[in-house]
Amino acid sequence: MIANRKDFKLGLGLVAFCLLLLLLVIPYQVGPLTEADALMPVLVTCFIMLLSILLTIQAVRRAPKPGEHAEKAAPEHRSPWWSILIVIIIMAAYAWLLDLTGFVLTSLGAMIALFLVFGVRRWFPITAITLGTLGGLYLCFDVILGAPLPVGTLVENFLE
Amino acid sequence: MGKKMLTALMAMALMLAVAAPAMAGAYPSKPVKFIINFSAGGTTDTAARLMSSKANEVLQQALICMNKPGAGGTLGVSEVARTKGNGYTIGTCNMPAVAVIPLIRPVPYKPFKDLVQVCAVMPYEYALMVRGDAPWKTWDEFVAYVKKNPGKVTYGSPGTGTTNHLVTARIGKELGLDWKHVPFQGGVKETAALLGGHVDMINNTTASVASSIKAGKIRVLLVTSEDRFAMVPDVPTMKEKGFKFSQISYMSIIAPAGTPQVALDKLSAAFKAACADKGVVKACNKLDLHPKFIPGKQYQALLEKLSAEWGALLPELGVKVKK
Amino acid sequence: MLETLATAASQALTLNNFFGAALGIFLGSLLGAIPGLNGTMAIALLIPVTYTWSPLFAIAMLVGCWKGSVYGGSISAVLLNAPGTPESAATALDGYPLTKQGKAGKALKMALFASVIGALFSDALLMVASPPIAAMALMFGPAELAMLILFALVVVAGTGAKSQLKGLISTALGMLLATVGLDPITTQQRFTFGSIDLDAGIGLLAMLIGLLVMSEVLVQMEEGWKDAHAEVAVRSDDPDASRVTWPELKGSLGTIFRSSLLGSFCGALPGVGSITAAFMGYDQARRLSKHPERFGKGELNGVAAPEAANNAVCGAGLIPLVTLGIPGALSAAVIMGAFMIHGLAPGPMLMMEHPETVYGLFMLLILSDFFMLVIPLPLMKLGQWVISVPRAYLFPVILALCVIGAFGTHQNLFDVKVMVFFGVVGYLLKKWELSPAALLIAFILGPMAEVYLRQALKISGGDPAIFVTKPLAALFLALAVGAIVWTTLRNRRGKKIGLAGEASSKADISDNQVE
Repeated sequence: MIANRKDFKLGLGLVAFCLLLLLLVIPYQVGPLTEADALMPVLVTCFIMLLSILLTIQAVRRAPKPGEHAEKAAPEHRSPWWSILIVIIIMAAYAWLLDLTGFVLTSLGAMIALFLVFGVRRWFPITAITLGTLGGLYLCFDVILGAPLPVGTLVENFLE
Repeated sequence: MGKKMLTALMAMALMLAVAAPAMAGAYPSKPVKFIINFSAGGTTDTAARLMSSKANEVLQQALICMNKPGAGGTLGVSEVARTKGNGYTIGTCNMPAVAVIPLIRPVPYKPFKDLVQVCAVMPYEYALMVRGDAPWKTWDEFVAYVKKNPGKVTYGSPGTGTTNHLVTARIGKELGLDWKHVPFQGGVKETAALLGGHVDMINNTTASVASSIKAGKIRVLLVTSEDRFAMVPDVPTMKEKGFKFSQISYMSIIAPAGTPQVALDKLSAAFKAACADKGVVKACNKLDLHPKFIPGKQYQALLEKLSAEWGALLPELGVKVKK
Repeated sequence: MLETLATAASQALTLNNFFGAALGIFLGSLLGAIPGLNGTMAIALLIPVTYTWSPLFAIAMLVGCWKGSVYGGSISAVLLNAPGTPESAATALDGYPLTKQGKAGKALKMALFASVIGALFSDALLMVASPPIAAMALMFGPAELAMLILFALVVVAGTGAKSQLKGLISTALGMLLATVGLDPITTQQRFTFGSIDLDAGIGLLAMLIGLLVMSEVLVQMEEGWKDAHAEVAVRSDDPDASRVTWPELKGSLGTIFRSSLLGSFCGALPGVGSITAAFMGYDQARRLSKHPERFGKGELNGVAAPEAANNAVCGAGLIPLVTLGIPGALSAAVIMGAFMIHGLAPGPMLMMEHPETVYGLFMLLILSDFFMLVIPLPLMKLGQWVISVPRAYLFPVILALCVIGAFGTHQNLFDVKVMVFFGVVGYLLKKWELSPAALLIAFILGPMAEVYLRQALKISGGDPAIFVTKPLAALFLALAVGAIVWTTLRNRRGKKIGLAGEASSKADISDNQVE
């Protein structure tokens, strides 16, 4: 019945997103819709909404193009969805922990974790690559350029 | 095996992270972070870096310059405000970031409670200027023209809420001029618009356009700072033209509240030496910058006065203020 | 005059300065080629270091670094589909498909030739035609710029998307994201959710690194990587796969020349910049091509065009800097700081007071263009070796570099969070077949359009007639309208051809969107 489910969902999702923006976010975060500040955000949001409605209608009528995903590698080389999620979580933790534990420590943990997620189990390349990368960056930033990498508040306190 | 290696790695990383462990002793016992609230390559950045090279010598510790530009200087200031007041983080500050912008929109710091002014080090020098081939040779001619052609003349500023905008708008209000304000995004685009003839007059720092002024591409009509400039000795100041205010904004050094007095004194002394240092002054003069030291307490009082004064005027000058 | 040139030559053409320029190019192309790191960051970080050096050495090195990084970005764009610099986002559109076809060497060399020609072209303009070009740049005020940006937006909207509708959605999303931060006119907060860091808007470089580099890691995880695949792809047996033949170069010369012109134009206008130039260059190549349908699938011209355009920005970006004291591009603004810290105030007096320095700089610029022909060659080889390294070893390093790249430019930890956020957004966009490249270019052009429109209306007192009464503004408005009409007509014709072709082959009739 609906020829292209993926686009249909995307279109509806975008329409919902635009409504949320128009009704809740813009009045609260930008200001009354009538003022100059809000003109651009409102115009653009309405434009997206219009396009999403068109996309939704198109998705009902048109099937996706055939052969679009022909280039995918054999299934055994694909990573399952949860491993992608784990990478995202590691990266988020990486970004949020930098404040606390500083660049070197956080990167050390994150990189080792990433190697493990990507399926590397040999310790020598893991340590060599991690230490090489971090050592190089530390040398560049702290020693040569004099633009220190974040030390992290926890580490700072620990040192004092 | 794996665990042992991990521990070793951790220990090594920790050692790497520690460049110079803080030791108990006289301030400063480790490098001081110096947050510059404008981007690399600008006037503030250049002046700050020139001065820090001398201040380093006096403090006998490195000042580590970091740029944190954005949002009219408030980003860098808030970065300083949220650190611990131990003397190891200081920053540069411009007048609007503490005296005007907090009145226009919310900022995450209380300008006179979370921050201490260590000292002011350099006045920004402002003037009203027109194109070199403009018909107006003097300020009076220009005013006469604006009065004769209401609603036709446009003036540019580096942005809404900058001292440039406020002072010019206030001049217009006191003289009853009917002209239009066009806010640009920074002095560079403002200057380009003037040179291209898209606005008639701008209020800008003289240092950033010194080369164009000397080449005759830009003519200074009125000095809005307190004293005349050596570069254009014949141009009157706005005080001489009968205005009761002028455009005062210094580049100042700030520290978070709670910084020990000893640290403040040492920092102030270091920057005082930098402002007086021949090498620094010479390098600054080449760029038409003129360092001038003002003690922190005195500058803080001035800021509070300015803040009250401008705050009362904002709505009249047509600036949208925070709800 | 001759005397000045002789003094300039004696000051500029020293071994020391050669070394400076060469080192700059090497560092620039290396940092540009590393996904996550980029030249603007390098220049911003290097400035304090150059403080104690001689002005010519420092400036030659910084400009070399800028040029190198603009080219270097194409290496990672072509090989990994992870553009190392914002300028090379358009290069990846056709460069990566070429790599998949085993023609990585060819794409990289074409990018190099196009870059060098573009750079030489704009440096020549800088040397001989600075004053008139600067005068032309000044003619563009808010009204003219508003219409120019509108034209650019119309032209590049939807670049890199599979369907026109999704391309437009990507463009609009980019414009929406750009409104985060302070309103450019009233300086009130928009979409900042109480965060001071968002007052300055979303950091372009941080967003870009997430959107184009981190997301690519996630996408390649999902689609699966065959480690052997890359190796095979690069080491194709056909010798022509790793070099550019003379007929190919000759065939692209027209495109390269037009792109260089466009790039120089964009560079000379303050604030328009190299990313816009690259996308416009790509688009003109596609529009004027006899085979527009090949673009996005590995068309060599699609690599040459953006590279010539973005490198042509460098020289031209120095034109308003040297003649007026107004930097034409992001990196030029940072380089202006290097002029200043060495006591050279950029502006009209620079040429009168320090002509030998200016001419010396010009000489070093031209020289560094020739350096650029050779210095990146080992990097190219290295890059081709790196992509044959198993992805599992490569990706953790790339992700750590993304973090440092996002942090490095402004030394801001918030930017790292922005990067990770857009890494996820970019992944979702690619999953839904929206175009991160289109989003990026709209993110850059959208706010410019808003600012210039509103400034122009302030100048005219709210009267929109300003956009038609000013000749240059009217010209670009007409061009924008023309581009829309042209695209529509072309689409309609394309649809007919598509329908006819598919009807005869009895294929699925719904698949007739020819973009």
